[in-house]
Amino acid sequence: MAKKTLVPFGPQHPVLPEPVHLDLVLEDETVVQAVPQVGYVHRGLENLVDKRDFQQFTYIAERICGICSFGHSMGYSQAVENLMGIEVPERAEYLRVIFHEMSRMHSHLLWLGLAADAFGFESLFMHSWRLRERLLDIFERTTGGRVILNFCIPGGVVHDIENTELEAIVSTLRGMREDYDQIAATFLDDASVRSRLSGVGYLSKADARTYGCVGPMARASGWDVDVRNNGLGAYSALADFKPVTSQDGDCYARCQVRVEEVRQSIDIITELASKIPDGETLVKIKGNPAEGAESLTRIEQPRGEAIYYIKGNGTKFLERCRVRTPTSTNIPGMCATLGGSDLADVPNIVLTIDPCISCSER
Amino acid sequence: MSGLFKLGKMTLQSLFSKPATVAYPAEPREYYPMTRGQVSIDIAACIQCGTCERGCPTGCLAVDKANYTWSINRYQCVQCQHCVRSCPVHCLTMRHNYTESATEKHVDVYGLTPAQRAVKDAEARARAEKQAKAREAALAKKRAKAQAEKGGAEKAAGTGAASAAKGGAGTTAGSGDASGGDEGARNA
Repeated sequence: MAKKTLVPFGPQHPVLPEPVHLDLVLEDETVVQAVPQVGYVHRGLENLVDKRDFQQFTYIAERICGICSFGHSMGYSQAVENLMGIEVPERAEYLRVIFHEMSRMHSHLLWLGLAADAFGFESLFMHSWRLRERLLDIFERTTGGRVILNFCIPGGVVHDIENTELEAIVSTLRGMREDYDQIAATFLDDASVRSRLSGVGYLSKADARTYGCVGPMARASGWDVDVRNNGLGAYSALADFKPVTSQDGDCYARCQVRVEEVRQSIDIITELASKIPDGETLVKIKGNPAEGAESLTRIEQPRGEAIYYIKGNGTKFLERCRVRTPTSTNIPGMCATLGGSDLADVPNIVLTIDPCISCSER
Repeated sequence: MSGLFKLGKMTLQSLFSKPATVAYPAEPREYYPMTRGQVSIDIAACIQCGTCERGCPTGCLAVDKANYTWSINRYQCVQCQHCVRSCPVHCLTMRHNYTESATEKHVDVYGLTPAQRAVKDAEARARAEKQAKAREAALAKKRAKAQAEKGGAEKAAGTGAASAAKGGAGTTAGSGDASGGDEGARNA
């Protein structure tokens, strides 16, 4: 039996955009155990419900994470609307889903770039981010912000997006598709990418269920868990929705699921933009959440299922706000996957869960 | 070889097309009309209601009613546009250019010119006079009402005394009403 060695991985590492620390226990070059440590970027945002009223907290919820910011504002807004029994205008529901799917696309393109950077494919990294820039331009043109949109608030969305603008968005996304197909073909068919990802970091469907994995990580192991499947909001208007899954359970499968989800998002946006009804986009909220009222909402973030729990106390301040984010749910699965892998594959495995440490630490 | 050079076409295209990036600052960045850069105020239109200050999630705004000033700490502002949306007179707008760089943090204070201040003061005096007159009118109306009630109560007490002389019933109710009328007049 080889001697065990402890190798620290992170909190600062070229492959990590945010700080997380892993203690890797090695036998020769093989990882036998990975012990995670989080807490480097904890900001205590949930506790701010004591000091900011439930409407102001929307802006704080949106700033939990820079990449899934729109999803956080949407999840929190839905939680407030459920708590206070507010019905959101249908057009606002459609606009929310359209922007949520665009936010998924920009998150996945960011991840694809980071993954390419992690396995040393610099030109692929730059092409992925160049394409992502077009989405950020759409965000800035329509909402005024590139990353933090401030578009979704309790009651709907802050302003309407004209149908002509929606057509321009769909046209831009169609134009992106040709470039994206080339990038996607590189990720899925290139020999060097396959050699780095295929067969690496295997997670079985049973293990994905045991460790409670969510999002692309679970779907890459053949478990079709996806909140969008429940048909909440404008997702119910889709003619057909089937989560993208893969049966392989390795890093390549996780990459494949994300690559296909970008295409799926383009289809969803195109379909909803053609079906969007006319009407109001915002209803004004009056009063405060009732004392003891509770609300729990789930949405499918780019990284997986996120849960928002809020409780009112009869004042404009909430009693409690709790957010469960996909990365914190996927970390146990990632540590299980790291066991038995080579040290050289650790960066790729860590990256394929698409870790968002800001989300998990709040 | 089939799995190699998948990105060749796109990379070659990139070689012969213009850069995807902007050579800032030599080439200025173009903003969209919607871009959220910084909040600006038309202070002459501001009614000093304080809605923006109360709603601001970062607490970067301050409204000083006594001096007619509106101030913003631009280093705390997160450009959420909440103040712009909630302003009842739409005197706040979002400019698309970002906050200028500075060597020291400071608070931007916006106040009125002496001429604007004189106009605002005159408006405030007129408003105060109008409110005082309205208060006086309301008070006079209340007094008149109380007087009328008092008179009515005395009349009822007289009727009550007459009926008491006849049968003894209603004496307590009559005196009660009268004392209530007195109390109402004192309050008025």
